[in-house]
Amino acid sequence: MNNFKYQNKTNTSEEKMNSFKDFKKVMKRHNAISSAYKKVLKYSIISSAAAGILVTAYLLYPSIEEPKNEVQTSILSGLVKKKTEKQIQNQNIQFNPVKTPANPIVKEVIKPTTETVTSFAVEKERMESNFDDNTEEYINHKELKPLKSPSKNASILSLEKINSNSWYTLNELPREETINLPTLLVSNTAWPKKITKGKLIKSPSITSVYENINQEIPIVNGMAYITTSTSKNKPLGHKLNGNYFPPGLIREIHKTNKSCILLLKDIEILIPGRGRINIGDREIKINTDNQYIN
Amino acid sequence: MEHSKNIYHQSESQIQKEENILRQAVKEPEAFAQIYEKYYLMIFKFVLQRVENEHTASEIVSDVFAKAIFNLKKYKFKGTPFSAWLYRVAYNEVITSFRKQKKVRTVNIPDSAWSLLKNDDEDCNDNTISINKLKNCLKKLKPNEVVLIEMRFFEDRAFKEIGEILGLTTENARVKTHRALKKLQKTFKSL
Repeated sequence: MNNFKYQNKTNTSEEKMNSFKDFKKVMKRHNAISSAYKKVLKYSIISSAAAGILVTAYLLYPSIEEPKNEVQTSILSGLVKKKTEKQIQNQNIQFNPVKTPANPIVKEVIKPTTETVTSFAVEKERMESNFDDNTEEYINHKELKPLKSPSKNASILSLEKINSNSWYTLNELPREETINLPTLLVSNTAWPKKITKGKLIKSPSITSVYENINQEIPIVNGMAYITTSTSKNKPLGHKLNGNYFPPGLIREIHKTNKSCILLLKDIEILIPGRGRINIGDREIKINTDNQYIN
Repeated sequence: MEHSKNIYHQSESQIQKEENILRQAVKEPEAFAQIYEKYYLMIFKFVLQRVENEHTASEIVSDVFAKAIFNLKKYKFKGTPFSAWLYRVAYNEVITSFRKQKKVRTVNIPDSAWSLLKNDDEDCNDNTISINKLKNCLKKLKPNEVVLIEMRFFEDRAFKEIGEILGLTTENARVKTHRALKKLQKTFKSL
């Protein structure tokens, strides 16, 4: 079967056929075809040459990937700059930065975020000076009122803290965002900033729980490090998988001294219906002072 | 058909002369004008057989020659006349044109075609009825079978020429055409 159209042949005279003869028209079409072809050829040669150069460069200098961080930093600084400029324009408030970092890269990142960093720094300062309990939950909210709190849409990136003296970059979630998440319990302490060594050893657990419905949310990924805030060498990490600290981590906790911190990096939880969620990092000071033990 | 046959069956000196012009045309497309003059009518008739009207045919013929000039450097002389290559270009261009315009391919049936189905013992005088029957029978064939019938019986082409246009050997073209004709006659009887 075919779907051709069948019709009776009409006799067309040769004069009529010859009336359509036009070699100029043919040449015009030929020129159009060849110019289009040349254009395509030109672009394909340029693109293939560029691809060839890139591949050669990559093969010759495989370590060229290094500047990735700089690009990320510049993107980050651009994003933060835009955001803070908008905020400052809207509110017409001038802030004096608390500290200016010595590192130029850090300066670039932190300088435009004066507002955020100021509040972050002051908040931290107050927490450390007026620390009565182990958890952040007990911070006096009235005292924090005059502070400019970070914007509601603040992401992990906007609060990224680069410690120029140490090896790590801390991405902590702001308080507003942690409210929407299940409570992170480290050694049965909610969202801790400081935990006693004894407590860490007695209950070496990490978990997250929706307290209202008493539903435990499993921690599926994350790394734990025992380090100091001034350490420039990255220590051996311990992978978190499950509710208990790995044995290696517990052994290291035993060896800790005053200046040590427990750094939890990239903690991932599995929320039913939402999937795996990265809740950022957590820096927990390990208190070895016996006075703090209850 | 006399005209196309005379062009198709050329002497060696004519083919050699044509090849020289083609070599020149690769460098200077304007030199192709002589070839255009020589083959215009032949290609026009070939295309007209496959389209609805002369205007569509003229557009396709212009494209055929433009593409022939553009691809002339790809043409290699293999002992067959240039017209065979040109027919293939035209055949492909017709198919491309129908595909682009999403139109249905047309087959123009000449008045004398009814004789295809006439048996010696039958006396069929009614031409119109036979042509209509032939159309119905052709509809039941496969597209490539219709193409063979069209080239052999409606355009009166040699099997060698059919083979060169469709990329078949002469013998294969002959066998396939014969089978298509048998199928057509069988279908006609069953109607």
